[in-house]
Amino acid sequence: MVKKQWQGRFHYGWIVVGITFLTLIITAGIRSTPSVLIVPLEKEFGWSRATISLAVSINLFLYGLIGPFAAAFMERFGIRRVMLVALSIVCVAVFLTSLMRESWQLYLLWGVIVGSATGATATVLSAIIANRWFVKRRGLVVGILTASNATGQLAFLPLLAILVTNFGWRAASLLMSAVALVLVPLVWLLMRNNPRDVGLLPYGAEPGSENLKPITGNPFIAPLKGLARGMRSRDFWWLAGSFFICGATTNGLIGTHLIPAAMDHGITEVTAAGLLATIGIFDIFGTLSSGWLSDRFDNRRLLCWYYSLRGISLLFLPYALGTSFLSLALFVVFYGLDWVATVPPTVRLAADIFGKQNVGIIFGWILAAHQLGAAFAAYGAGQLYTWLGSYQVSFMTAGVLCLVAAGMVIRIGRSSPSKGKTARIPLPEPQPQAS
Amino acid sequence: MVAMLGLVWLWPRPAFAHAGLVRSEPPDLCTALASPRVLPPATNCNQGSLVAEPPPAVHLWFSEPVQTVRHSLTVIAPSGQQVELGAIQNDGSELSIAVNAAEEGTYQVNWQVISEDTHPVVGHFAFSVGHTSAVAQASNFAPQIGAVSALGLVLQVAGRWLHFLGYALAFGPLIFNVAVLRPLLLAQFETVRAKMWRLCNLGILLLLLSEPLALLGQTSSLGPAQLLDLDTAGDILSSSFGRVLAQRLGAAVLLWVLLGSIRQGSAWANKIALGLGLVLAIVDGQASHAVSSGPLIVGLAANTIHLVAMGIWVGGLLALLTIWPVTALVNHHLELTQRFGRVAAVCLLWLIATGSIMSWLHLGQTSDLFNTDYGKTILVKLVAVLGAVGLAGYILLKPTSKRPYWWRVEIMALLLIIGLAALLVSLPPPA
Repeated sequence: MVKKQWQGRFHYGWIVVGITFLTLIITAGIRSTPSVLIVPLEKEFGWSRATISLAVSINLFLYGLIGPFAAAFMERFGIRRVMLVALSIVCVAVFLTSLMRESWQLYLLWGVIVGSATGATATVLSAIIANRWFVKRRGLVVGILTASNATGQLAFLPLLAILVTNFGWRAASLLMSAVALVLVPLVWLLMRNNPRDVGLLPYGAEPGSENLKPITGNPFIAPLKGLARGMRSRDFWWLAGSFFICGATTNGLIGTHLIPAAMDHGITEVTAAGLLATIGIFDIFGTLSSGWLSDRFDNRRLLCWYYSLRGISLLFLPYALGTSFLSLALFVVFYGLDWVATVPPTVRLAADIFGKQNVGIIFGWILAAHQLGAAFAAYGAGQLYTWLGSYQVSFMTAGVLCLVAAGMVIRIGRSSPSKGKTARIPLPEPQPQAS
Repeated sequence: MVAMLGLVWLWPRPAFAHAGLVRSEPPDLCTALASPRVLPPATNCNQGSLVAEPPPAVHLWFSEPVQTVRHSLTVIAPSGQQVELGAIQNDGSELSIAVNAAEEGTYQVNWQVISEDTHPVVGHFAFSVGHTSAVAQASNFAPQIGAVSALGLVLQVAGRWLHFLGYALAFGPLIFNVAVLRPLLLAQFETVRAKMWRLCNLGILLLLLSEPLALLGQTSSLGPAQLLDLDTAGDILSSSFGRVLAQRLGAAVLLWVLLGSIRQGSAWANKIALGLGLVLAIVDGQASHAVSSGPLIVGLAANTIHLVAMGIWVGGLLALLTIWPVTALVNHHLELTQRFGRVAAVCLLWLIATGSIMSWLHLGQTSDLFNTDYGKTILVKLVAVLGAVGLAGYILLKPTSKRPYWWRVEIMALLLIIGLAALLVSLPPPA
């Protein structure tokens, strides 16, 4: 078995990573589609922007909330089966959107169904893949998968915008549905639940060291139990709180409102969408580097740096918007590098503190906090804009919140045994940190 | 010190401007700035210029670009109705709003703006259509000091005083640690460190508390009735003041983050924290008169150094007093006082030099020193500083064991001086 694992051969784990990468980037792209459909849907059906935004909010929220349950389902029924079901649902639901006539169909299809189904294959999937298939390079894998997810949400926007402009919004929906359809057989053929299904050990594992028992509990009860266990730990609150702020400042604030904010300062919509896509591209580099760094340095320090720098750049965003395109471009590059770079260290810390057995579910809840933050900020910044006529207060609040997050993460694990380089010390058993 | 002040005041001064109303249409006859035209006989400036035709709009020109809030321009008809039409047009330093002035009688224009350097400035004037009449809401004019309401000024001063004190407490001990304790090899005692962190944390707390107070100072400066007005607060937070407030809050939070690292033994964090002290002093410069003073870079540099030197002196003295009773240090009292004495002397020289430069930048002419609130405050502060320096010299004559008592007196004097500095920054310098 050891010979099979590594004799100049390509570890199967990388194929699993490849398939997961494709799935994540596509589902993320699908999830982001409604933002380019807002105007066409307004025009065709006369729905208000509030109506369409509500569907996006439902989508954002369920996308996060479904994570812990998806983790439990994956533990119970296997990653492959859950991915297949989720992709099939997405495929059918997106196809059906091209036939919709009423706004409740929009809520149901784009909001509830697409939100939940894409949530089932979101960041929580990357955490599980990394922890099951890898012992070494785990940070790198989380980095690759997270980047694909976050980038997918931004990188397709220009393409979708072009499709919508030239062929109508139904073309965009049908294309996305077709892409999901192509993915289904790929996942069916190549995806595997566990290294032992192909007779391997996780990448970099010593024989006999990895013995994860599958969770046998009820997939609805297990996540709630996980939440209850997490809530007793102070570290859970630090992680979830900082991730709430992370979601608020990325998907929620910048992801939703950078385009209108840039347009307020005389930048065209196409250029503004390009700015967001650029964030998505630099996000790949940032998150990959962060994954690499998280294998080597104290993850609390890393997070502290990320949040501090993000906070400072937000505090200066109003100046960047006000002055020149160059400084805005600089902001975009910088912010892109920092976009979801926070994920690999957060996954790592969660795994170290709560144990590999539980990280899927616990991280799912931490991710739910991320999406809650995103939904909160998207809505809040919109309301503040309506009231004050500018985004300055939103940007400034977000900046200060990021600095607060930096203070939170540096205090993680103070009283736990994982002092110093937490990344090096995996805790043997899941244990609530009653600190 | 006096010689130094005298020397810089003999220098020719740069042209200097601060946000104020330069002219308006219809003109403000009550201020000297309004226009050089001679008042027709029997015209009361309180009723403004008399026009036959209703003006379609009111225009105001300021000496520098200004920022508006929701109620920046209100025009009140003789009947007491507000007659503005549409939104305020803000073209940098020119504000205008369309009005419906069909009714005959005296109209009253109230304006409130925020200068680039975050200072609120308010004023009012009148004009009459057809004939003059009683002003509808004359009682609205709250007593003003320094171009803002009295309550606003008090709150502004309180906010700045707390901020300055917080700055000294947050950063002074860090520098005391580097400049006094480390060279004397006294920084390693756990009791000493614990006391220092407590001072820093208190400083951070004061820095955080000063911001809501500063915001209230800002809202009430525009009008005492607007103290708790959410719309005004929101608009102020959307102005340059909001940016500075967020940066100052951010700096306080960041210092809290860095303290977490420093206490885990990070030498890097210590250096970054010292740098942060400098950055916060520069940020503060945006909210003082530094940005409106002649050569911007000189004003900003002087302001920054002034604040840093104040922080080192006041914060260092408080740190010294706090660690004085620690038993491990009893044998080192003499070294401590000598070393800190040298640091304080250097700070004092910088304070006097930069203070002189700033007063030179802000006072239009030497007579302003005696004729304006701003100048009089400088004079009082000068006397207080002379007193504090004299006291410091007197303390040097005392035996080491008696000094803590006199240092407490010195701290009281310094707190008073900081209060005067807070008042100085809150008052508009003479134009």
